[in-house]
Amino acid sequence: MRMNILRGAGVLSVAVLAGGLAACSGGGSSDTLTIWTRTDGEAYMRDLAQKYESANDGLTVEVTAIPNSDVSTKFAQALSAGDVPDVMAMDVAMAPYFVSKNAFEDLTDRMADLDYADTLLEGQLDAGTSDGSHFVMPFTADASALFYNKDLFAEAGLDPDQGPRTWDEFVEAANAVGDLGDDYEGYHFSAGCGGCSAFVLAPMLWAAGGDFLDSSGDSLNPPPMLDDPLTVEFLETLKSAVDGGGITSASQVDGGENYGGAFESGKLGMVASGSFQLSNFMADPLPFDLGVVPLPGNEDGQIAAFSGGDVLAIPNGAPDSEAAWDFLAWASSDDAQTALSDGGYTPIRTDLLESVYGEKGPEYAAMAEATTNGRVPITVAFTAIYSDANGPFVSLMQAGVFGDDVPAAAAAAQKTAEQIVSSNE
Amino acid sequence: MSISSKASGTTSRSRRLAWTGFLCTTPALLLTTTLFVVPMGLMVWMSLHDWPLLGEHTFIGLDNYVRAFTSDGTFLMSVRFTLIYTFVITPVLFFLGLGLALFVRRRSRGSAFFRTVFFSPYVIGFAAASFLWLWFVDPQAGPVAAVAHAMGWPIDQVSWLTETVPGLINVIVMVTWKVVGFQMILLLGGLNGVPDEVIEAAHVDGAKWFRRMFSIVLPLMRPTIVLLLVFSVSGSLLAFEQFFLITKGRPDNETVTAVYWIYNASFKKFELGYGAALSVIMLIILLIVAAVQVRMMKGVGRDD
Amino acid sequence: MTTELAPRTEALITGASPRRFDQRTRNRAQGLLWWVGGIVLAAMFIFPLLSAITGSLKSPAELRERPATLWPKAVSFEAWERLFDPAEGVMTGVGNSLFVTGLTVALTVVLATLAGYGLARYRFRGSGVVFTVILAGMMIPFTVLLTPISVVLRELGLFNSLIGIALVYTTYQLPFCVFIMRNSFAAIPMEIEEAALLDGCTRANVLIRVFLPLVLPGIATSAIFAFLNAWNEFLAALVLLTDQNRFTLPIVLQSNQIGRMGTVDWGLLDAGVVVSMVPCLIIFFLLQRYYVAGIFAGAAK
Repeated sequence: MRMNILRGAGVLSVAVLAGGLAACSGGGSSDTLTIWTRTDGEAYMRDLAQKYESANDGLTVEVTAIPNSDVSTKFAQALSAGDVPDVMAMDVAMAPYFVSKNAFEDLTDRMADLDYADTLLEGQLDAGTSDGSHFVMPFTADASALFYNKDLFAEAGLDPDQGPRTWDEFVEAANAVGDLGDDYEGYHFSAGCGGCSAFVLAPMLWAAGGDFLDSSGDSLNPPPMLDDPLTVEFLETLKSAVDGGGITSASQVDGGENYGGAFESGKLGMVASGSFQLSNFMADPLPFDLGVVPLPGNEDGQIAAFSGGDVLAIPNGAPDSEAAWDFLAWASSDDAQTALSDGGYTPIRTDLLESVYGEKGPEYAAMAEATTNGRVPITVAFTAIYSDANGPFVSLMQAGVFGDDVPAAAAAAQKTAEQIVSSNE
Repeated sequence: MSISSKASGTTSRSRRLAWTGFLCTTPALLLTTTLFVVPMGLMVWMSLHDWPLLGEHTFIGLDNYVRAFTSDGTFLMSVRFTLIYTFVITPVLFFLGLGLALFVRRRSRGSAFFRTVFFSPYVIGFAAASFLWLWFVDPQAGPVAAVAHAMGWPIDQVSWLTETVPGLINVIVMVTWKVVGFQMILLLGGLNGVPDEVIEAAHVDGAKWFRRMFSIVLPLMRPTIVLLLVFSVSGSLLAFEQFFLITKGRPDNETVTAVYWIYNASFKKFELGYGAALSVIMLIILLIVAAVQVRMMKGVGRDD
Repeated sequence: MTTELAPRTEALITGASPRRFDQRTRNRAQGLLWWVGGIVLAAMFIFPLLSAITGSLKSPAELRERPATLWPKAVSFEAWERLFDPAEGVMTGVGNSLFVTGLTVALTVVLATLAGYGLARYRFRGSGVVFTVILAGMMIPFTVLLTPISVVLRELGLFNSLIGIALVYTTYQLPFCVFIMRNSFAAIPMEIEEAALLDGCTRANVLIRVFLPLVLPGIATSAIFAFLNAWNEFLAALVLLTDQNRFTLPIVLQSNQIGRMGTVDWGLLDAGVVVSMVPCLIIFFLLQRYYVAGIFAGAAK
């Protein structure tokens, strides 16, 4: 009996040792560049990786894709353990948080040496800027704009060539399309998903000169202004679309799973989405005429966009910082950015946006305009305030837009948001 | 002489036997110590600190615990919700499981088939099942909506995802669907330990059926039932994925469970110290609940 | 001479059911009712799973239709093609999951059997403590222990290793499986053990030749649950693995199914659920005989 036990224990320890040796993946070999990206960006990252490999003999690029919703978790864990990749590609909205935690190397000097330094998209650059130093390199842009179904507009008695240019026109259009029938939606957004809602709604508030967080200072942790009169006015406007049948409960329950709703099926009048969606629509032509306009403010001529997308950064403690920078420089260069643009992705260089990208068609030009005017909400608490399904922004959407008492909902959300901001001081 | 010394347990032989017994448990104990007890100890240590995932940690004593019980209203709300959920779902699962077990006992070719069908939802993971259910009850994209539409029945499915009580019921239905097969199987085993005549007699008597079940059959199954309840209650108290994915805590964090809140603290807000404190509190709650249940088992059969 | 009582009176005395003629029709009626009830219940249980299969056979355009369709208008294998596209890495995920799960099951069975044996058939001081310590692992969702666990694994050089993951899974399957095995061993009467010992068997032989066949049902039960839990686990695998080609199936599926802004690719999700289910159902079918009997041995006292 004892012999069996000892033998068993021996086998186990050998297994453990063997496992340990096997797990010793060689770290920081100078011939391998490790890149982490989110699964959204996996396709183009792998394409670029291949290009980069063929341009650099003897270099292997290892791309690891992490499920979107788990990128922060995984990266933060890796940081705390010191097990980081050479290059980290992450959602630009996450950047301020990690910048505030000193997760990334300072890129300011190296960036200044680039000859296209001043054509880099400001919105994205600012998200990774602290005290004048830059910590992220813009990589791909994904600006939000308003897509609408021209055929449905015509059917509803609206001018198909004119997308909404003010909040009022927006509500009018939504309600008109919603009136076409039970299965029709005027406008759809994922009210259960904070990041998604912010992506599509914040620009409309920005265009009017307002904001959900007061970013007038340079702070990475701006205070909230969810109960500001303009904010409340905006929410009341959205609520009037709910009351008028333009926005339905389909938006209320959508936690992001049905983002874009039924646009392709032709029963949705308008949806705000990003450039990625534009390339999808262009690749698989829709069964109706597509219109694209920038997101409007409450007065004619006001436009804005949420400039999302990915940025690149070099985590502190990366195995090969020099090789990492070489990649960052290459990824933002004409070569790579043009390749991205050809693939339907939006470049982060204002010069290329105008020339290569904008020239692909009027919809692309509209998108280019939106992108150049794009902003990112810069806050270390992006996840806690916006993305968190149990956070104040989502509550604001649910209780405010779909509820009965907008001011009360706004006040409650403001209080929660203030708590979050103060806990980050 | 040998008998008495065996009884007293002081002979070298009985000591050697005792050692053998202990050694048999050693591998399991070793693994548990390394990957449970040690991390657990680390976690208790972390709970006494303000320990953000990124950054410096500072010792703050019991502040996290104080915070859990005073300023963090959501935690207490989540514990209350978790308890309500457990109290509701445990009898539902038990009685449905019992019903199915009785149903499936019939000596018929169909029994094996039905047994498999009732158990099959259990084999999917909780996360996958939650996603599947989310699609299943989606008011726009899901099969339930499709059936309702085809039959011309208008159902308000929106409230299933956005309001507290319908949301709770929605999740309970989903969990029952998924888990009741497991309860059925365990209870089947327990029933098989009860002599057939007892059960048959209960059947025939009609109205007195319930009484017979409760006063005779169930007590005979006590060990199985306690085993079942310990796992069922522990599992329910630790419920997380189903609420995280289906109701997402709506409305207003009213359908957030305790572990959901712990996840939020540790993996969303990266406040590891606070998450650790909440986990310790849950652990204590669970240990107490389990101890109460195990005490119910005392005196029946060969147990310590 | 037997006194023949009227059937009703006879029934009152013996408690047996009344006239055989009534009994047979009643049986048939009951039988029919049973079958009907069974089919209805089975349909309810299977409906969501069947929907997963039909959903996986719908084209993406059809999945976006509002209102949703019941049956696929035109069968489309697109979701399946995408699932098995080598770039998506599903097969690698399956391979990794099989490795981790297989190892977990093997380790769990061996360790739980040994521990159950030791706890049930031997008296030693502290056996209660040992049992409680092992059981306590069930009282906490081990995902909250992930950060400390990753620290320990790093110290052991087992971070980012499939073997490390298997060890973690094994640890948290032990509570339930040790419980089952202990009960299984405890149910074996002393007489059997004594008889074997008297026959000249060593204790080891008794364990292997005599006990194991008797506790096989318990082993099957442990194997099934260890398999199911290891196969479907997501968060620990995500945090403890950093190499993409080591990712297990749940992670691969999650990556593929959840797209931009949390959009879910329903077709792919359905196909993924079906793929995930298949090995589990196979295991369940294979072990079913032992397993159902096993609950009897494990729980009946």
